[in-house]
Amino acid sequence: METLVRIIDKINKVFAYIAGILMVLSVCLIITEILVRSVFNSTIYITTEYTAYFMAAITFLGLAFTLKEKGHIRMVFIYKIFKGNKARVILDLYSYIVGLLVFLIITIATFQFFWDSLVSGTQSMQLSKTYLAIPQFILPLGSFLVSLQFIAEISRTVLKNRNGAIENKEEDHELQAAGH
Amino acid sequence: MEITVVSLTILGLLVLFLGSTIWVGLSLLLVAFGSLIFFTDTPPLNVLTNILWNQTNSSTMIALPLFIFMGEVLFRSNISQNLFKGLTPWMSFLPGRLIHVNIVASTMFAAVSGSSAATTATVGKITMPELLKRNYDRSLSIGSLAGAGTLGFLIPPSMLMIVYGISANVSIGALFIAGIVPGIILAIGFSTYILIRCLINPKLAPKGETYTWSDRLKALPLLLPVTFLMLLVLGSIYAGWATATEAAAVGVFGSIFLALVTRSITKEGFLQAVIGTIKTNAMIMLIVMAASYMSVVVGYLGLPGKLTAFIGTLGLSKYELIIIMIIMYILLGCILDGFSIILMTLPLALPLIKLAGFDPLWFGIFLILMIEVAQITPPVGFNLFVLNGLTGDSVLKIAKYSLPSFIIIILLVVVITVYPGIVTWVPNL
Amino acid sequence: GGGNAEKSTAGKKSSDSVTWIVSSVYPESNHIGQGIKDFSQKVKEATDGKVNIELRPDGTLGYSSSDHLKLVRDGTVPMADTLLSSVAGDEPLLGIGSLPFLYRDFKEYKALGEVTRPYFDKVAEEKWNQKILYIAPWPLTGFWTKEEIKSLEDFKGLKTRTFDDLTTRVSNAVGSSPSPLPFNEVYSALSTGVIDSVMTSSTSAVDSKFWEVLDYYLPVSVMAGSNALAINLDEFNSLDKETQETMVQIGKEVEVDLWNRVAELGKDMEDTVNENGITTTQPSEELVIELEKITEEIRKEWLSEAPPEAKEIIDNYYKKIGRNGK
Ligand code: NA
Ligand code: NA
Repeated sequence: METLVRIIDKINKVFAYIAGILMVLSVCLIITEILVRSVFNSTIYITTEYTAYFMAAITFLGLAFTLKEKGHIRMVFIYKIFKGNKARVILDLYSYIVGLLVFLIITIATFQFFWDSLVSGTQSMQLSKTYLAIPQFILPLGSFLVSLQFIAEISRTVLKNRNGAIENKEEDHELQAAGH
Repeated sequence: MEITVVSLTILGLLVLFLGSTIWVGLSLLLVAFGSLIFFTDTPPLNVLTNILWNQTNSSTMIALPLFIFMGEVLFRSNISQNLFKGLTPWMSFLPGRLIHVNIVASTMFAAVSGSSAATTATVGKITMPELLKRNYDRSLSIGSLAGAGTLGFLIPPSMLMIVYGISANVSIGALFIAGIVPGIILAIGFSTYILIRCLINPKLAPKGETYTWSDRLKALPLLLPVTFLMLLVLGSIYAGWATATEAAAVGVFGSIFLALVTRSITKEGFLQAVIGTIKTNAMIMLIVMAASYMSVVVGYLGLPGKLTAFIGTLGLSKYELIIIMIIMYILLGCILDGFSIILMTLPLALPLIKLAGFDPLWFGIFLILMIEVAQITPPVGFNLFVLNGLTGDSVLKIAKYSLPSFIIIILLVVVITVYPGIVTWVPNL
Repeated sequence: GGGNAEKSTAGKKSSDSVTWIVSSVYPESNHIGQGIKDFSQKVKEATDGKVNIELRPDGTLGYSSSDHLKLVRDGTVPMADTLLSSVAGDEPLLGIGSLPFLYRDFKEYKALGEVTRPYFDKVAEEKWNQKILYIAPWPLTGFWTKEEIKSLEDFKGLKTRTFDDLTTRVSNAVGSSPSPLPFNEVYSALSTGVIDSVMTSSTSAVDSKFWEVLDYYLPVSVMAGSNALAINLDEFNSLDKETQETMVQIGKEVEVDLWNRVAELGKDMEDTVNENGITTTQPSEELVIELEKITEEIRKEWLSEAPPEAKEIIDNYYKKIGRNGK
């Protein structure tokens, strides 16, 4: 089980870096567009369209890693009411399982959304005539990665509890929020 | 009354999920999903997938991660530290001395970054250790930064204004310009408060080194990089090179360029900046998507129309309506972040505001100010989280330090309501 | 309202009445919004309140016009008002009305509408599970610029806002530089000079107060938009035959009314922009012919990739207006 957790962590870190690369690429696209427009009075055509696809990817590929890093916001003042490890472990497991269920449903729904575009052959209205199924595949992929990460978090919590590895540290803030 | 039942059910479930440690975004998703199932015949997942795609497949929305990215790069290079060193000699003669650096540096960073949290984090990382080391009053130091950091949203560029502009179909450019005057007034307000407090009790700001005019002049070059970045971002917009959204990429490009030229960023620092951005963006976007789903569900239920009609029957005057809005936004601001607040309340608030004869442009600035308040009210306040991370003081304690800033922002809201020209005058020039 | 009424807001039927919501990205105030209001009012009266239609304007449901075809097919929204060219990515045939320089005036545009209508009805019902209740036009789309355009030469060096493949190609063909921008960026981009020209209708020009940032209007018919009000077929078929007939009949009335109204509207809106300081430059016949000629390749290429019915439509259309497009 520990190996599984480590593998999932690693996969999602890789996807977070892919999201990072796409973000840097977006910067390059926009800067190029500005230069081409201002200097050569022309356009590279794809900037608006592709930065939009990249934004979808940056977001969906980053969700799972952010979960692992405890970057998503949740209110945990209830920890103060139920002191002790056991209550906290149960609360964590409860929210991880709810999260897993929600994201499994989102994975299936977004997969159908992607599949519909694939079957209908829906194309973008821009010059590139991109098949929308391609960028839309990022949605089920990212949601699936989040589901995986929830499984990893559940496993991690169970493992730590079994090994008694959870420190009884009183967190001095009532909320979790990282990344700022 | 049916809207009461529906609204209370939604609110009750939301509190239940939020309170039981479910993530803010997931709580919103669950409540919205349930509402569609219980109150309508609509296939809930079809609605969701369209929202997920439309909210993220957006060339305008990408300004959000890009402004965060710029802040991250500045934060991990020494450009932000130089800003502090450059400003210090200039503040030494004012009552309150270095505490004013919080305000001035926040104002300057606000002009290059689109987010309040990024502004607070970048400025606080430098000023907090310096101020606390010099025994400046803890409450005044932290509280003033909590307030001044919120300028990140009001002084252009601003990610919230972009979100509002898209949702309310108001010109983003006009919003940006409209934020400048209130932003400066607010900065002066914060500084005035520090001045008064320190005139009454000079011990709040202990005496430090004295600086000569030659020191001041020598410090000026340290301010050059941030000034350059400000001119680059704003210049690119107003010279017609870039749109407000594209300016975010210009900001990223400029900050990386500066960090490289000053040789102040390492490869690790750069990678941390990238990953930090991906995390913050994912955190905000999950809430943005969920809140957007929620507001669509509210649209399906026809709540905005019904509520608008209901408030219409109350026959409220312009000012009564605004007072109700202020109270509503303070309450919402306690538990929700700025993006959710805008997206969730807009379908409800905008028709009311238009009906009462307010300019949607003016309302944009009103809303930004109310969200600045939300940044510093517990339990969910992004600036509080940032300062909690920087100083170790508890969120509630920092919220208490921030109370004067809270009052100053509310005062400005009252002033722009009575004199809306403060907001609309410059964009209409 | 009771328990039933609560559920009815998004398409739930109680025993004797039904309420459908309409998704639209346009404001309630313009002719598209007014058309829907008009339609729902008439249907409500004719059915004694049995059929209620509630408009959700301004994109408050969070959808773009381009999502509508699939949303109505799946019953995610029971009804939607859709800019036909925006769903051409799903159903290319529906984009035929926005082919550039296919028609010279509103009369010719109307003729094209009459030819296409049966084809659109068929594809909507057979492939997309929805019934078109009426199709309403927009005023013709022209060029709005900062500098006056008298000849083809004057397009050179312009930066023109484009929003899709066809507008991008038109911009390229006339020699201006295409700048794809989201709609809400257009005004400030014009005021700071990121762009200096747009292709749009006089209605949109008035809605966006373009006289604050632009000076000239060239009323050539680059293209024109058409919006269809459509209903999910299952929802429609759940009505009794008589009520169905009533809705179709009212759709026809509203459609006739809207076409008549828009013919006038284009001129009214042009008067408004003129009063506010925009100068209308009537194009020379030479310029119109040149524009048709340089965009011929765009139409040809579109037809070569389009469904087979498209060629039939174009041939019938040219027969009907009695001129050759070449
Ligand atoms: Na800012
Ligand atoms: Na708050």
